[in-house]
Amino acid sequence: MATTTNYGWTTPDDTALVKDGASAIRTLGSSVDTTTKALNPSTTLGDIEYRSSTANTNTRLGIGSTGNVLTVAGGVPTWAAPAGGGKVLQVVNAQYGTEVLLLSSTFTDTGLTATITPSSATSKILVLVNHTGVYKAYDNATNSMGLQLLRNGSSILVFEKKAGFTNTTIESAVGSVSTSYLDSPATTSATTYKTQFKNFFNGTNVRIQYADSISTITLLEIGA
Amino acid sequence: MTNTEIAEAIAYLVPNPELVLVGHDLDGLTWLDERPMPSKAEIEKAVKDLVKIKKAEAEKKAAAKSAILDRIGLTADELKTILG
Repeated sequence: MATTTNYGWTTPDDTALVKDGASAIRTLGSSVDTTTKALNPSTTLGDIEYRSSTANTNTRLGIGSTGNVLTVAGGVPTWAAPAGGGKVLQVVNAQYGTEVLLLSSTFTDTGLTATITPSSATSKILVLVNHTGVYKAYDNATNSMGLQLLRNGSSILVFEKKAGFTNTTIESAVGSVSTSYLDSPATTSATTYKTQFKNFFNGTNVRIQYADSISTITLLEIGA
Repeated sequence: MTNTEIAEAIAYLVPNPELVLVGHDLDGLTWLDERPMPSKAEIEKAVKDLVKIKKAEAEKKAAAKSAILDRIGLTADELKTILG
């Protein structure tokens, strides 16, 4: 008996004397039916198939949920919720407008703070800080201001080391000092960001939010 | 009182003090120094004293300047004209 090239269905040879034509057709039809079902296992509207590890046998992938996208996991297609990568998931903004005068070379709170609760531990937090009213008083040539950003009380970035430095004894009203920092807090707990400042020579003062100018901090949760 | 006056008054009482002042009055003062913190009354008195001291210094300087001008027989404007 001969077999077909692709699916191996059994057919009579050209020279075969077919005694029972109906039986031969049923056998071939049964083979075709089995193969076709193996190749088209869908049962429900929206189902799709993909090739399995077995030749001539596809795997049914049932319709996904509304909004799902087709992706690959474990080497096979699967439906999944679309990733939130790069999208802004939430924004927190805070401001502080009270002058703070400092005579100390130890980092001290500026009063600017904001708290965010990430919706996912894989999210990143983009921190944008704009400190206004950065000021160095007169009487000392070496004094200047340092500024740092903290997460939950721990320093994550010293973003200014010599604000207002003039190498003279004149006062220096710098204006604004800004920074941005992409943080990965890896938590879904409330996370507090704040800034601190200090003198490099505490014989004269430095001030922030000078004349009660408004400083701002913005926290953006970015989806992973 | 301005923050500058407060800072100068405290430094007048305690040289090179360590402190933080939030806002514009002594209620926002946090004392960071190991030395004793001056009282509010002492700071307020020092502010007034410094105003008097600065005023006296300014008057003394003006009087000295006037005496020099008298000795050379010129007014301040005449001296400026001469010096260009």
